[in-house]
Amino acid sequence: MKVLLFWAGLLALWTAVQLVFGPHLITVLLLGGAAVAVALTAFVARLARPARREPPDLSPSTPLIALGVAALLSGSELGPWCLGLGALMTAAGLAGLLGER
Amino acid sequence: MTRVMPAGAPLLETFAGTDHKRIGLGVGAIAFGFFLAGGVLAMLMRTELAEPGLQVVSLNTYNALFTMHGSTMIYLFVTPVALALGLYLVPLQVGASNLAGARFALAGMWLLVLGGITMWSGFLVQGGAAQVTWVGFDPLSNAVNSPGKAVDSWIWGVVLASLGELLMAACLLATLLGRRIAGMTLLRMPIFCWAQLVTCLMVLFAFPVLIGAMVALWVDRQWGGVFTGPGGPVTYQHLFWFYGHPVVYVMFFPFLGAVAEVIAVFSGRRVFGYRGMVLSLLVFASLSMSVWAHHMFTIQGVTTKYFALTSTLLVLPAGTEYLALLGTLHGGRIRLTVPMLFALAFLLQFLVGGLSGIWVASPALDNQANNSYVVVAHFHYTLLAGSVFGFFAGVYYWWPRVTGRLLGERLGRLHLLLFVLGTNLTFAPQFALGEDGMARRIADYPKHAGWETLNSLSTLGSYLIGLSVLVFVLNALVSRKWAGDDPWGGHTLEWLAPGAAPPPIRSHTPLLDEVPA
Repeated sequence: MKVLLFWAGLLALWTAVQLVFGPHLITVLLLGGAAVAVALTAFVARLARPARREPPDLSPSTPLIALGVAALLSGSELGPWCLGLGALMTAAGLAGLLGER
Repeated sequence: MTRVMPAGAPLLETFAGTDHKRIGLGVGAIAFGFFLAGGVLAMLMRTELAEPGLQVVSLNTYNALFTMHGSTMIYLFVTPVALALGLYLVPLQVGASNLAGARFALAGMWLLVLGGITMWSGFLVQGGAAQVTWVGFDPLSNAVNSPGKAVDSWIWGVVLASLGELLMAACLLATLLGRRIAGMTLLRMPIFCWAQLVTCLMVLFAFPVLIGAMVALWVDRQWGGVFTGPGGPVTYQHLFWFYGHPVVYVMFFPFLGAVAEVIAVFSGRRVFGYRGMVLSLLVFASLSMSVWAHHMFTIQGVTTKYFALTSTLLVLPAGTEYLALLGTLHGGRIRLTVPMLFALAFLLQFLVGGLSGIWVASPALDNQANNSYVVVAHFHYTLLAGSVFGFFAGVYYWWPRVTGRLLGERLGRLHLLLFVLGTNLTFAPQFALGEDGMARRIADYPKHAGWETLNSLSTLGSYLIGLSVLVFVLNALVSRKWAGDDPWGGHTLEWLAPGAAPPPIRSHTPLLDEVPA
């Protein structure tokens, strides 16, 4: 995870350089926030245990969830029928995912 | 043999298989389909611009064409195809059996295709597709100026595609950091893997801001109150360009990595200054996260000095990488195969984009070039003349690994020749047009401006690019020459699979227990 910390350090450095130029708050927040997020990711990745279980060769539930999410988002334009269908597909996909190996 | 649609295999395996090679090929095929569609839109635009007056499309349709062309190429072609190369090759190159979290990558592929469909569905709604540029500039994109469903479709299309790309990048990064085979230390990874690693970092920490900005834009369109204040449009641009500049390098580094591999192999040498190149990639990626507001130099209230400084600093890592690639070539036993020729063309073509980038990184000069065809020429020299040359270098190089066949050398050279001619004929005149004051995003120009000849040349060039891509497709369809195990003498693990060239799509095991010293 050293590589993540090194990169977070570089982002922090460019954020610090910004301060010399009297930046706007949003630019400091964006770049500084990214530096913090990278450092946090390095920390989480260090704690996380590598999952060694291989996924199944086939995962039909995964595309079903993706379809469901897309239908949910499109449902905001197409109407409640699409929202309902999206919710149904997402729920079915998640249930299927739990049942996969 | 690895195929996107294996003969006789159940359809389910194509749509729901979790093998990284299948996902990589699927994403690549989807992205290439969008490349063809985006290319058709570009040729329609160029046809309209060949002469003054409106001959082919209306003003509104033209606005939709350039919005969808840019959106398709950036959200649906170059970014995903850059990741597709990684999805296929990274596990093989680091000796992993599969991607970490392969189901997330599979979901990413589906979100990409659904995002593309959602975005393009705008053509079916009343008034046609979105006309808000690939940036979705606010207040142009708000509900008052762009009523109707087209912009909403565009927004959700961007969200879905970007979410998909985010998932793919997360899987790639987890694979690179956590799934390397014993002995494959970070500093033993091929340079292509490093290029993918820094690409994933940028995707993971810039794309969420885009997704947030898009959701905020949608909320603003429904109920207002997000970007409606005095600083709202500037805030939107900060959020957008915080994604919008790193994505330029997301669309560059993987192809730079591919070109580095190609140059090393066809020079018969290891990558010169490997550690320096790795360091320069990390610095390059971090700087590319800090330059976004150079897209906003003409807007009041931007810290131009800082963003000019960081933008100009980019020449240091870029120069280091050029030095490393030229150093690799120097003294090598150079074989001018088609992949190598595309790699060399990448170096030359991208140089034009890179050098013109230094020019527009200066606020004073950018003020003159802003919103003109100079900018259009600059970014097409980086994205098409740079990245797509690198993409084809990689495709010709790894095609035998994927299909077991070699692409035809003669058709490959014809493809390259037409592509080089077409690219330069299309975009070099645009520098002159921009210098002469032709604004971008216009469907028409006055006859007395004297821009007809240069525009006609540019249009002719775009047809040559289209023709060159057809030659590539023909090459892919007709070339049947068996490649053997390792036709190029590759340096990296993907060429060391036991037996015939492509490993089977399933039951792939790590290639080596130990990396050769």
